[in-house]
Amino acid sequence: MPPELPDVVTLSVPLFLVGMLLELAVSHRGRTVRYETRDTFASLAMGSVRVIEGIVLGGLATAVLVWAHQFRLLDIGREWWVVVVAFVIDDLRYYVYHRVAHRIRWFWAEHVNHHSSQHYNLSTALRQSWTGTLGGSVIFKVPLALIGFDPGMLVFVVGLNTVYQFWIHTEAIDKMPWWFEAVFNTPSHHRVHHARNPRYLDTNFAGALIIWDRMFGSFVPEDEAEPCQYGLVNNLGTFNPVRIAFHEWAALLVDVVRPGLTLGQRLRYAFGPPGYSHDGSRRTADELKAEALAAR
Amino acid sequence: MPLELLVPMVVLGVALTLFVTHALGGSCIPPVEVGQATATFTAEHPGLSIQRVEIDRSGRTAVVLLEDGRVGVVTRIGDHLTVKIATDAARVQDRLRLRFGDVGWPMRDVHLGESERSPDDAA
Repeated sequence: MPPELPDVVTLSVPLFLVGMLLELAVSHRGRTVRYETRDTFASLAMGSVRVIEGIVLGGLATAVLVWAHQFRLLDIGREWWVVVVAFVIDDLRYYVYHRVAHRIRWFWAEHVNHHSSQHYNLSTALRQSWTGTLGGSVIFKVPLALIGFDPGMLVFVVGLNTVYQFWIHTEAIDKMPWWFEAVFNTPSHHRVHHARNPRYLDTNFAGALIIWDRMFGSFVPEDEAEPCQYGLVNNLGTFNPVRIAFHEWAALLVDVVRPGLTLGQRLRYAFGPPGYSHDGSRRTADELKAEALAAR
Repeated sequence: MPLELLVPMVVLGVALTLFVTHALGGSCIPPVEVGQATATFTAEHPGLSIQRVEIDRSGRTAVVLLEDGRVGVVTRIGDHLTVKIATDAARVQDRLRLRFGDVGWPMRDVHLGESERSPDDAA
C-alpha cells in the first residue's frame, strides 16, 4: 500500500492568506504593490469557487488518470526520488499545457481569466479557472500516467507546482539571485508572462522551472526600460467573477455559430490562436508583436 | 484538511483580506482626466486621430470622439484604465449608449453634460 500523499494546495490555504496580508502590509508601506478591493474580491471569489470545482469535478480528472494508468509502461513507486522526477517531468507537462493554453483558443478560454486582472499581486495567483476540468486539460497529464506515475503522485506534484507558483505573482520582489533566476521561475520572469506589452506576449510559460522557456525559445527577460502593463490585450470591463470565468467561452461560441462561415473558419475560431478572425478584424499575439516590431 | 476547518478559514481569510484592502485605500478610485485619457487612448491606438475628449458625469469615463466618426472610451476599471472603441453609439434620453460587440463588455451608458456635443454627430 503506497503512502498517502497530502493535498498540498488545501494545506497551503493559510499560507496564501498570510502571504496576501503580508503583501498588503508591504504595499501600504512602500506603495510598490497595489491592491484594489473589487479586483481582489474577484480574484478570491474565483479561487474559492475553483476549490469547490476541484471537490466536485476533481474526481472526474482523477478517474481519467486512473483509467490511463492501467496501460502504463512502467511500475513506478512513491520513493522520495520519484517525487523529484515526477515534479520535474510534470513541470515540463505544465510548460506544454501552458504554452498550448496561450496558443489554442479552446484552452485559452479556460486560462484567460487568470490573466484578466490589470493588477499583479498575490491575489492574482488565486484567480483560477473554473472550467479546466470540463475543458479537457487533463489530457496533458495522461502521458505521465501512461509512463507509470500513479494518479495520486500526479495530483501531489501538480499541487506542489500550484503552490510554488503562488509566490511569483508579486511586484514586491524585484529580482532573485542570478543562479535562482537562471533555473527557477521568479516574480520577474512571471511579471513578463502576465504583461500585455506586445514584446512580452506569449512568453515565459514556465511553472516552477524557467529552463523550459530557455530551452524552447520562449524566454524573454524583464526589461526595466519597458515596465510590464498587466491584463489582456482587450481588457475586461468587469469584476464579475461569473463574467470573467465564462466570457471567452461565450465569445468562442458566438464566433463558431456565426452565420456564413466555412467549416475551416469555424474550427479556427475554436482551435486557432486567440485573436484569430476570418475577416482580419482582430489581431493574434504574433501579429501584434510583428506590428510593434515594425513600428520601432 | 477537513471541510469544517477549510470553509471557515477561507471565508474569514477572504473577509479579512478584503477588509484590510478596503481599509488601506483599495476602494478609492481616482477620476479620469482629459490629458490622461488622451495619452492612454493614443498609446493603445496610435493610428487614430482624436477629435475631442469629454469626461462623463461620474468622472470615471472619458468619451473619445474620433476623427473617423467612431466613439471610444477610456474608463476606470478599479484604479486602472481600460480603452474600448464602440461598434455603435446612440443617444438615449440623457445618456450616450455605447455598444462594443464584446461579450465581456457588451454595452456602457455614459452621461455627458447637457452642453456636450450631440453624439449623433460623432457616431
